[in-house]
Parts: sequence; C-alpha cells; structure tokens
Amino acid sequence: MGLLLRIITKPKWLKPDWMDPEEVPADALTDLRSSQNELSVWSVERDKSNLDTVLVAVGSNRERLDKLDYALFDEDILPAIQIKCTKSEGETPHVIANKVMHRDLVELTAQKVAHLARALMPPTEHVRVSERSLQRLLQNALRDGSLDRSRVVVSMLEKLEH
Amino acid sequence: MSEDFQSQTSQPKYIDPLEELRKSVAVMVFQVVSASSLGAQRGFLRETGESDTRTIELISDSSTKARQITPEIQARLDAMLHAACQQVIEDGKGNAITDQLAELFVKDYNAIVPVLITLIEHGRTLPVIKAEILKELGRIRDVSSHSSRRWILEHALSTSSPFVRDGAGLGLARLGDPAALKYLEKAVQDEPNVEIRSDLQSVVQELKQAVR
Repeated sequence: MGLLLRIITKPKWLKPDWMDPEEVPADALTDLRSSQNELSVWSVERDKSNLDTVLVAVGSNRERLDKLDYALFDEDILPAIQIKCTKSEGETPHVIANKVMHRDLVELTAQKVAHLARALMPPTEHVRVSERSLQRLLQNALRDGSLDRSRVVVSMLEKLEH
Repeated sequence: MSEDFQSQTSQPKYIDPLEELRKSVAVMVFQVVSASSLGAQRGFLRETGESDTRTIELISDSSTKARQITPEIQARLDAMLHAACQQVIEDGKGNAITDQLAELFVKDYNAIVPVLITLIEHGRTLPVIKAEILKELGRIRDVSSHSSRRWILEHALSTSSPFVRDGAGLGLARLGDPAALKYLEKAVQDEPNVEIRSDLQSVVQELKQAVR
C-alpha cells in the first residue's frame, strides 16, 4: 500500500487555541465534502516518484492558476477506520494519471469522514505547492504532451502558454 | 463564531503607533478616510521613510482624490461580497471575487482601498472571503494601483486571523514585488503559527529567487 493525496486548504486545518488536542476544526470538514458518499483521492508511490504527475493532473483540472494545498496520508490507515478505497477513472486532462492513479474512498458515512478528518490532522503531512511552482509543472506537462489540451480550460491554457 | 475563532486562534499583532514613531527616520502621515461600508470613520497612521516613497505617494494621493465610494461601486462591492458568501471558495475555482474585484478596484481604487482595509481589519466577513480578496489583489495587473494593493497586503500580514495572514502572503507572492520583502521577513519573524510561518517563508524565498 502506498500514500494517498487529498486536496485541502491548509488554513482550514489550523487548530485554534481553545480546541482539545484530539479534536478537528469543523471548517476542515469542508475539504472532505463527499459526493455520492465518495471522496476523490490520488495514489502516490511511497518514494513520491509520481507525485508531480498527480499534482499536474489535479492542477490542470482547475479553472484558474492557484496554489495547491494537499494532505498526504498512508493508505494503511484506512482499514482501521473502515474506509474502502477503490480504483476509478479520474476526469482530469492527464489521461494516464486518470487511469492509473485516481482512487475513490467509497461507502462513506459521516462518522467515517470524521475519522478520516482526524487521521488527516498533523502530523499527517500538509504541503503547499506555490502558484509559480504549479505553473512550471503544468507548462512542462503541456510541452511534453502529458496533458490533453482539449480538456484544459481555455483561460488556463492561455495563461500557461503566455 | 468566526470572529471568536479569529480572536482565539492567534495573538493579535498590534503595532503601537508611538513605537513606530520612535523607530521612524522620516515622516509620519496621518490620514482620515471614510470607511463607507460600515459607516465608520478610521484613521491610518503610516510610517514612511527609506525606500517607502511610494507609500507616501499612495497616502497623499488618497487624501487629495475622491474619498467617498460612489453608491454604484458600493452596491457592486456589496453584491460581490454577498455572492461570494453564498459560494464555495476553493483554490483554482472562480468566484464572485475573482470575477469582479479587479474591475471594481481599478475603476476607483482611491475610494475602494479604505473600504477594503476596514473590511479586512474589522469586517464581519468570513476569513476565507477576506483571504480570497487579498489573493485577488495580488493578481490584478494595473500599474496605477500597484502601491495601494501592496500596502493593503503588507498591512494584512499583521491581522489577527491566520487565514487572512496566509491570504496576504499569497497576494504578495502573486504581486511579485521585492519591495514587500522587508514586510514579509518581519511577518515571518512575528508569525506565531508554525504552518503559516513556513508558508510565508516560502513566499520570501520565491520573491528572492525572482530578484536574482
């Protein structure tokens, strides 16, 4: 089992002083909004060799260039909180990442999402990719043909190519 | 609730104007502006000196030109904020602020600057909205309002909400102006939150690399 990446907004996970150490800020749950009781995540190798590919997939699927915050957690934690992870096709402009690296956490309940939120709190790694770094990654991916240009939002494509 | 959260998540970083006066090697400028969205009057005390000539320009500019926001712009600003409050604000996703702020700001930045400062410092607007405004201020490409936007962003580095301080750092990263480095470095020193400090430090490094 490898690592799983979930897009978050880092400041939402900051713990206020009044909060008990074991608690999770309620605002963090907005980063775990499920659809059809499922959450989209990405599979990352333990050596992070495919991390940039995943970041390109996620970053290219947006409307605008922006920084990208993510949490990287061990897939091994899922059985303990009774969350199932299944392989499914992603819908980003990165065709290979869609087929190989996309996963869904399925059959979620409110309680399971709360357990997941607790598992995603530090010391789980929360990382920020700056807008400029992401722009470089996306520009390289466009140049080497990793991205299906027809799936990239036009305004984003223009920004990346100028 | 969110205001309580803000006040308890971090220590307010109040800058004593008298202390600033002692440190200053040049001029102190006092500006009273109307903060129209809340109907309040606010005064701004601003240290200027060394390389801060652009700040002097901004303040004198603001004090001689229109101070009252027009009813039309006020209405559009209110509508933008109202719409943003109904939306899910997410990185990389458009929203009312990303769609409308630039046009409104450039139209009459002299009038909007004090309104935004008041909103960011004291408004009951959600921190996520304030942070989005700050991020967007860094994205606007308009030379005439550059100093004003940089000033707002620098100022917001010392607000009480970590979310807003983070937004200020992101806005300055987008603005890409090395003149903000000294404020960012000070913010890194003063930042009580480890995560925010680390992200502000990254902005400092990015700006320094851009200078080289």
